[in-house]
This record gives sequence, C-alpha cells and structure tokens, in this order.
Amino acid sequence: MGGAIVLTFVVMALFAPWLAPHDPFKIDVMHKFASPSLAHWAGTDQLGRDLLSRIIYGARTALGVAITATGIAGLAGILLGLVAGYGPRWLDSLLILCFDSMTSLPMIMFALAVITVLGPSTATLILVIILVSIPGYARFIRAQTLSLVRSDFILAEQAMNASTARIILLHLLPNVAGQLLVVLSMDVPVVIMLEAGLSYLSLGVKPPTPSWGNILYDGYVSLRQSPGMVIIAGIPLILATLGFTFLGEALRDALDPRLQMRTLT
Amino acid sequence: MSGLYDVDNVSLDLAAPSAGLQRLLPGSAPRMTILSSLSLSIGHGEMLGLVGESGSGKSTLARAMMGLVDITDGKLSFEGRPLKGRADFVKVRQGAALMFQDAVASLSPRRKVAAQLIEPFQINGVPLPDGDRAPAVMLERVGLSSSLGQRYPHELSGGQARRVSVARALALKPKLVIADEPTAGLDVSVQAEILNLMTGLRSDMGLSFLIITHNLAVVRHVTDRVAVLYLGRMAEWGPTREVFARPYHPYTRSLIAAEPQADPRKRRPDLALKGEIPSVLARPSGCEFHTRCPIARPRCAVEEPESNMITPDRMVRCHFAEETRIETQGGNHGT
Amino acid sequence: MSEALLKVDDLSISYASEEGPVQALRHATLEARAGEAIGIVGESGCGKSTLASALITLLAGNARVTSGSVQFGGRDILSVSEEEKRKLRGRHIAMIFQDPMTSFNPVLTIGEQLVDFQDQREGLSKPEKRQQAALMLKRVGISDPVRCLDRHVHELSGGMRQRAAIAAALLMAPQVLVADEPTTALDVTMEAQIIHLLRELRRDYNGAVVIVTHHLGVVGELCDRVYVMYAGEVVEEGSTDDVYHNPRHPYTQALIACDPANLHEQTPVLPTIPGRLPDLVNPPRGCSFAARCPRVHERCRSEGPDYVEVGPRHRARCHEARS
Repeated sequence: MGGAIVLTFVVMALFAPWLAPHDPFKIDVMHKFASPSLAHWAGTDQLGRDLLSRIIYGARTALGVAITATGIAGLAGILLGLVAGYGPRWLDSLLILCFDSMTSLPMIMFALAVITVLGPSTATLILVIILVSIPGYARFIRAQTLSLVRSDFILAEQAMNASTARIILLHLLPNVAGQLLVVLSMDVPVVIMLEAGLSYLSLGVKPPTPSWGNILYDGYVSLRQSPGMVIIAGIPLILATLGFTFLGEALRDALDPRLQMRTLT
Repeated sequence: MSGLYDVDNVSLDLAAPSAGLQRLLPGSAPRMTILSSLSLSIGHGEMLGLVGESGSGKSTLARAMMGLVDITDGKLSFEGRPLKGRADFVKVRQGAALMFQDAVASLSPRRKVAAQLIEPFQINGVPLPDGDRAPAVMLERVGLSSSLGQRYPHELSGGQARRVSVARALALKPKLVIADEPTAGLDVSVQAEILNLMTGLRSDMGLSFLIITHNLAVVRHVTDRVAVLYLGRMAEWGPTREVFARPYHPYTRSLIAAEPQADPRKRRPDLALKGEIPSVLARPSGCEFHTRCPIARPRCAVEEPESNMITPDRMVRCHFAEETRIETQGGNHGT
Repeated sequence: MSEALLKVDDLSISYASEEGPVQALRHATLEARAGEAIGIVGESGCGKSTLASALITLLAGNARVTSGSVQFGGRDILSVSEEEKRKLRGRHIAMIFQDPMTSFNPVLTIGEQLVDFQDQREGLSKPEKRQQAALMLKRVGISDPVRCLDRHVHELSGGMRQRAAIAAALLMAPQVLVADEPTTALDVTMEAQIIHLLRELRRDYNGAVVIVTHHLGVVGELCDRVYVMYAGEVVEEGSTDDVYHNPRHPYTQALIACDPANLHEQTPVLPTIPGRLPDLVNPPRGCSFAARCPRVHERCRSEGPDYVEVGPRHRARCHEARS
C-alpha cells in the first residue's frame, strides 16, 4: 500500500517529461484559473500553467530534495552515531556536545541564517535539512548502539579477536540500520513538508521551478480567484505523507527477522 | 607450576556505580572489588569446574581471562607466556574460546548461523579447513544437521544454539574452552547431550575446559578438579571427587547440602545456608563468608584467612580448615 | 483422605497456528487435594505451562479448550465469565511466576501493590491492609517488612523478590497456589531457601499447592505427588516416592536416569533420550513416546496405551506398565 503510493510518486518524478500533459513552464494567460477540464485535468494557475504538469514536475523537486537530504543525513547520522556509541568515551562526549548545541538552536532561525548567508536555492535547502536532521539521527543510532555494545554477541566477537571496524560494520550496523531506515522513511514526508514550507516562504526552491510548496503559495495568493488550487496542491502532500509512513511501517516489519517469526506463530 | 592457563594472584576492581555529582570528580568514585587475590591453574587436557553463586565473580573471571576486561593486579599467563598487552590477548583468543551463558544472545541476531560459524577463521586470517563445506562440517561435528546453517539464531532451540556455540568455539582448534554455564536453561535430557558432547570432544581433541556453573551436579559429573569461589575469592579447590566427598570449607559444605534432591527419602529438613551473598559494595571484613558461616567465630570477622594447602592438591581458605579436616577424617574412621 | 479441591478432567487444549491446531495438551487428568503439594514435571514442550495456565484460567488468546474441564468449587472454571475468572484468580487461586520481576509493577512500591491485591477484601481499612501486607512479608522471611513495603521491585535482591511474590500470592489465603518454575531463576542456595520457605508455609496453609517445574530435585524436595508430562499428555502419576523409586513409564525412567544429580559415580557418558518430540500438530496415532522408547513394540505404534492403575494412586500411560 505505502509502497504503491511511493512508487507512483517515484515514477511521476522520474518520467515527468513523458507523463506531464503540458509544459509546466508554458504561460498561457488566456486560460488562467481554468477549472479542471479534459485539456487541464487539474485546472491552471494564475499564469495559466497546467497544474497537473506542475504537480508532476513538483514531485521531482519534492522527492529529489527529500530523498537526497534524508539519505545524506541518515548516512552521516549512522556513521556518527556508531562512532559515538562504540568509540572511545571522549569522542562520544565531544559528539554529544556538538549534537546538543545543534539541537539547541531554533530550527527556523538556523534555516533562515544559513539561507541568508548562502542565498535561497535548492542546494541550500538540502544543506539546511541535512544539518538540521543529523543530530537526531546520530542520537538515535547512538542510543541503539549503546544498548547493543554490552550484549553477549558483541563480547563474543571481541573474544574472537574481531576488529572494531568489523564489529561496527558487520554486527552493529545491520542491527541499527533497519530501525533508522524506518525512521528515515517516516521522515521523508516531514522533509517534503519542510521543503514546501520553506518554498512557500520563498526561502527554498525558487520560482518558476515547480515545487509543491510554490504551487501551494500560488494557490494561497490566488485563494479568492480560484479556491480549488490550494486543495489540489495539498493532495500530493497528504498522499506522499501517508505513503512514506505506511512504507516505513511495512519496512519495520519486514526488516526484523524476529518480527517475521512472531507473525508466523 | 605452569599449566595451560595460569591465573596468579589476580585482583579486579571496577568503579562503583555512583550517582550525581560524585561522577564528575575524577578519582573520588568508590571502587568495588570483584576479584581479589585469585589464583587458579588449568592443566593441559583438564576439566576444571568453577562454582559459586551469582555475584561471586565467576563470569568476570572468564572475561578477564579472555582480555575482555582488564585486571587491576596480578598475572595471567597462557601456555607459560605472561599476558601483558593487547597483542598477547590476540594469541589467547586464538588458543582459547569463550562460550557464553546465553547461547542465543551470543550469536549476532541478523546473520545466518553458517556465516557466524566461519567468523573465527575470517577474523584471524585462517584458511577455511573444508572450503565451502566448512559450516556443514562444523555443524555435523556437534551433531547438528548442516541445513541449520541457513537459519537465524532466534530460529534455533536452546540445545541447538548451545551446540552451535560449541561448534564455533572449536573452530580454531583451541586448547582451552571456557564455558560459562554451559547447561543453564536446558532440559535435563538436552543437558546430558551437551555434557556428553563436551566430554567426548575433550577426549577426541585433548581439550581443556573451564566449566563455570552453579550446578553442582554438572561439576560433580564431568570435572576433574573443582574450585569454589565466594565473593571474588577462592574458598576451596581440589580434585572433584575428594572435595565432594570431604568438603573442608563451610561454604562448600553448604553448597553441596543446598542441592535439591530428587529422591524424596533424602530430603533435608534443615536449611544449609541462610541469607544472600553480600554486595561487593559492602564486602565483609575478615573472612568474607563469616556473615553466613555456620561455624564463624569472632576471629573470622577481623582476620583474613590464609590460603591453606591441606594436601599438595587441595587448598582451603578457612581458619578452621585443619580442625574440619581432622573432624571429617575422624568421622570417616568411625564408620 | 480429603476430597479433591481442584480437579482437571480429560482436559485438551490446542493453539491455533499456520500449520493447524497444535495439540499442546491432550486428555490431561489431575487432582489436587487440600493440604497436598503436587508437582507437574516435564521438559519444554510437554504442555506443563499450558496446564498451569489452565489451572489459573489464564489461557493465551489463541488457545482453545477442545475437551474436558477444570473443576473448582463444584464448577468448571474454564467456562465461567471473565469477571468471575478474575475474582477466582485474586481470591481462590494464586500464582507464583518464574520471574518475580514480572509479577510486580515496576513503578509502584511493593506496599502499594500488596494493598491493591486486597481490594476484594471488604471491611478492612487501608492501614489495616498495609498491616496485613507487612505481616505476610514477615511470614515469608523478609526481616524488615515495613521498609520492604516502601521499596520498588528493582531495589530488592532476587531472593527477596521471589519472597515478596510468594507473599503477594498468599495474601488472600487462596485455596490453590500454583507455582510455575518458582526456583529456576535462582542460585542453588537461594533455591534451597525458597524450597525451605514453601515447605514451611505448607505446614499452616491448608490449601493445595501445585508446583510446575522441569527440575526433579524441586519435586523431590517439595511434593507429595507428582504428574509426569510428555508431549501434551500426563504419562505417569503417583506419590513422589513411588514415581522416583518405582517409575513405570519409560519416559519417567529416562528422565530420572539422565539427570546427573541422580548419579553419584562419574560415568564417561550420561544417558540421554535420543530422538525428538513428536509433531503436536499431527500427534502419533499410537503412544506419543513410541519413537524414543527403548522398549517399543509393534502395538505401541498403532494403539495408544490406556492410563492404567499400577499401584495405589499410581497410574502410567504405557502398554508395559503393569509388567
């Protein structure tokens, strides 16, 4: 179920040029604020651009930003979390200090500061999201790692001379990564929302690039003329959130061999 | 005397769990003594039993012997070579293997059994003895079907997991296997199978075993010598048969008397040992057993007993060991 | 001899599974009389835990009673309403679990819970209930009961926890006390103390005690009568002395033989019970022990043995039991 929705969005993003019925940038002021019709299934916006095409191209931005950002943040989080959890104590304390100071900054303020310095662009947006998410992921992985470090199978590995790298990569990573994957997939919609939110504030993806946030913003501005636009722009956001959340839950069940057993017996 | 593994006068302290501000002041944290002046020697091809209640330091000793925890004082030596640094323990871990009490938990939960069986070879850079068939051969050696290699640890029964850990312990053909509670949690018939497997391997491969357990029946049945540990100190050791026939330390006597008897005609109406083992944070003065000892006298609370070699192969740490010995032998004489 | 307090009659219970119903308990029959301690002994998978949970009407969600009943106080307690089951459990039938941690709520003090357990007792004020709880703690050998009342379960040592759990179970003076592996999680010395305590408590407790264990030693020390279970069936019952000294079922004999505690000389090889438990989804047509029995006959494979009388209150489920 979740997989199907996510797959639909991925297909939309990948094959946008073929799927979109119109050019998302083509302005046609003669037909602005058109209601849904056979020619424009989702209607048009204030510049007469085809909304469906813009939503389809928007999936590119949304998924591109969300998956890149959570992916990189997740990888960095795993790495830092494992090092903090299994490495020497001083390194752990140092990393925790960094994470804590990061999380103590108000997120929006931090985002605004970075964007002000680097200027609004898709790359900046991704960078902000990565910086903001790493501490949470790293802390999550560290907590998972700490709960495993004292367990018998890690001691057993040490008793066989296993190197630190081997223990981290072969024994700790598979046991913590699954959990994080679940968290990550549930975070993708949060990031999509964030992207939409920042784009809506004109701090993210710059118009005319279609992004769900920009479409929402346009819809909001034109609420009087065409109230339908906001709703149509909101639907993909809601669907994507649901899809990724379901996918995350399905992943959690599938990744844990012990859970599989439980469903059998 | 140099055995296969010698533990010489070893002590081990850990920082006591402390709360609040105390933790922030380095050096001020109280220490707790887990092992204290412990000596033990495991001979070539010997099966040595180490018994004691939980909290006696048995498992800590096993981990210290593998270099998983650092000792504070004393000397460990394997095959006559003293163990000083990390590099020495790398050799120990190739020549000795540790089996954990919870066999399922000692296997990595997300790797298949076959992959875990060949880990000792991969880690230590030893070529697989039978190539691709190595896991199957190892499983068959401990009486398991080779198809078990494709399972995950949680899919094994208690007895199967135990056999897998025996198989992995034997991978590098070690000289010594340290088995922590090898039969805990097993049914009696499975327990018998595991014990038979271990005694069989011992005679086939000339292995030495250190069997750590609180199950006296197991110790009595399979070991050559037994050492009794109380609160991190050795109370008594000697040949198993003699220690069980004539225990000299009051703690050993209490342990033997505490064993439940399946034969209702052998029920004991009285209670052998009252109270619980004291916490390592509140170690009693003098002889640490005096708080529960049925024959304790004032002297025991102030004076630590010496390790007393009653005969060349029997040690007792009790002020009254000599008296007890004369008593028990007098008793034997009378019957 | 007094009447049976608790009577299990031809009880069969199966669990739903993907392969079909697992017949975990088949035609079990058992009785516990007032003032008597009975033991239910067997290895994992023998159905002893299922039987124990039936005795305290706490069957798992996927369990189904396919035949028989558990009679207590003149009715079948498996078919009464949930509300009545709850009342029974609090007041008349109590249980001690293997892990005493699980019988206490970690965030409440022992005292609060011991007072709570008496909520079915009317006409007693809260301080009086607390007083009762302190008395009971003292009774189970806790030297400073008042201080113990204010502790949380994690602050108690293993032995203390099990004592407190026994106190909790005995608080309402139940007529039946079911103890599931009461000493398995403990050291030898602690085990001996808990056995000693249970034995002492029995003296002035007039109810029935049911001990479920895999440890013959616990049965030998504590029980008057024993029920030996294998693959979901009761295969032998009798006085502890008869069953230990004159076991008539080959499984009982094998079980006693392979426990090293019963051997006083070292032998190079311990006796074992070769083979595996039968599949309980499709239990064998004949005797369930046939595949592992050293004295198996053609008849054992085709025909299930009757539960035959081999002595006074001594029965065994074996074709050969009488000979």
